[in-house]
Amino acid sequence: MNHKWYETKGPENDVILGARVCMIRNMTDLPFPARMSHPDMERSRTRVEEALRRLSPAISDDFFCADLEQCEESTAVSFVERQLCTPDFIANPTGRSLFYTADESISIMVNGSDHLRLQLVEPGCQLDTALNAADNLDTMLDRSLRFAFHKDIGYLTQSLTDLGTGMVPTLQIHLPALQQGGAVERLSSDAAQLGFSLRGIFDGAVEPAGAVYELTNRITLGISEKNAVENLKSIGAQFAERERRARTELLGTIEAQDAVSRSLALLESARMLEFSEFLKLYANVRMGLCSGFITGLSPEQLDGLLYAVQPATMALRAGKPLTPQQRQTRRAQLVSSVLAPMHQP
Amino acid sequence: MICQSCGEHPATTKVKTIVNGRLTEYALCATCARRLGYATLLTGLDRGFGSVLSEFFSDENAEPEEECCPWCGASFEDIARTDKVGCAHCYEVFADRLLPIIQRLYGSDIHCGKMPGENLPQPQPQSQMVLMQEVLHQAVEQEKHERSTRLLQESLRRLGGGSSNDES
Repeated sequence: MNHKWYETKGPENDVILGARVCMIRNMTDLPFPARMSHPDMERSRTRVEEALRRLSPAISDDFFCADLEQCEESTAVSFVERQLCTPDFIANPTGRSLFYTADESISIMVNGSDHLRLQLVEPGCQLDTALNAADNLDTMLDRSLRFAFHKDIGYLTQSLTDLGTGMVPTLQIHLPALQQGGAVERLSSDAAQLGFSLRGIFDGAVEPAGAVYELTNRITLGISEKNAVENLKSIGAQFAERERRARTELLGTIEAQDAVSRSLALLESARMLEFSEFLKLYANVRMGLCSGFITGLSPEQLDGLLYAVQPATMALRAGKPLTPQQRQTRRAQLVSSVLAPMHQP
Repeated sequence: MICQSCGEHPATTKVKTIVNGRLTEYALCATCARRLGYATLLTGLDRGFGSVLSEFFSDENAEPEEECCPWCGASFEDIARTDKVGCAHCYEVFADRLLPIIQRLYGSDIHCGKMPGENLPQPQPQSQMVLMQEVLHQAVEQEKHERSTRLLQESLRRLGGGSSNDES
């Protein structure tokens, strides 16, 4: 069985869960997606399919293709939950397709906000590896798709905000101690001044849950891909260091130690678990685990659970719609089965 | 519409997110969009880059005929209204109007990254780096200051005979 990228150990994954590089590309002889007809969309999708087929079989055989118009809502939502595409991509499924690999480390959104959005993810802080892989795939696809490019302003995109490199690098980071200390909002506004954004992955538009954030470099023009990645690495390292210091300080208190132990006990013994409750407990347990307060489990095992117990992904894996009660019961069973080996000799 | 995060300011940005297995849309004001990490270069401009545009071309409103991209049919009005460029050719057709906006948004209109078919170029020092170091330096200084203030407050509390009221 293929391990997903988030079930694999990566460097510095005590704080940095993953590194993603996204490349936004368009073809010269087709209108951008907002002005595309259905036949244009079909043409674009077929070309991408053929371009992938022309790559070496080792790469092309690995891709699944999902036609969003044919997908049930839970399948489409599950793609977003597993971060294979953005929420905007599934909002209007007309003419859109998603190509992705079994380990979920590569995905290509076709006919979304641009003709192609290639995404490569690596576990931990391996931004350079993700950039090199994205660069290679981009170069190979460009041989048959001839991406729209202008010598002065770079890769041409539907939105002016992606123009230039068309490359958006992101670090997925876990900041439970900084969030509890109320420091995230200040970090977010510091980051925004520099052209970065810090956004909660779960319920990000309301109240970020689980303390899992995406730190993204949004500047695409006037800066090279390597510089953009270096800058993100540098600010990501600063955030990670502050989080580690905050964890040491926080876990020095009996209240925080109590919260970590109680969270673990709840995850182990609950018979029903809502996803929002899981996220709160996950944040505490992951922090305790990475700071040595809990042993017998790896952060990537916990991260695997984080992806597996999301509502739409659970329904997809069950192969049928689940009532909220069924979902909560299955979630609790899955969590306790993963945590059970912690107590075996 | 009022911002669904702060409930105070008018919403200017719509964002989509997944909440409990459902695709959900929220309307946010520019401040909350920035605070929650949803800001883009266009956030805060009331009418997208159309508002940047009016600063440049305020006296050209009377232009009678509307030029359209011969390739995709988009007019410049369409692009400014939707914040979406029609096709790759629009960048040539409307270069005189788009380039000043691009320059304004990024502070640069020169691409210095990858060229199609080539390997990535070598890194060069960039302005974002310099700015970043300044802000990070300020953040570290601020944290040092807060830490020493906290230590001082704790020492004062201890010296004052433990008047702490948080022992619940």
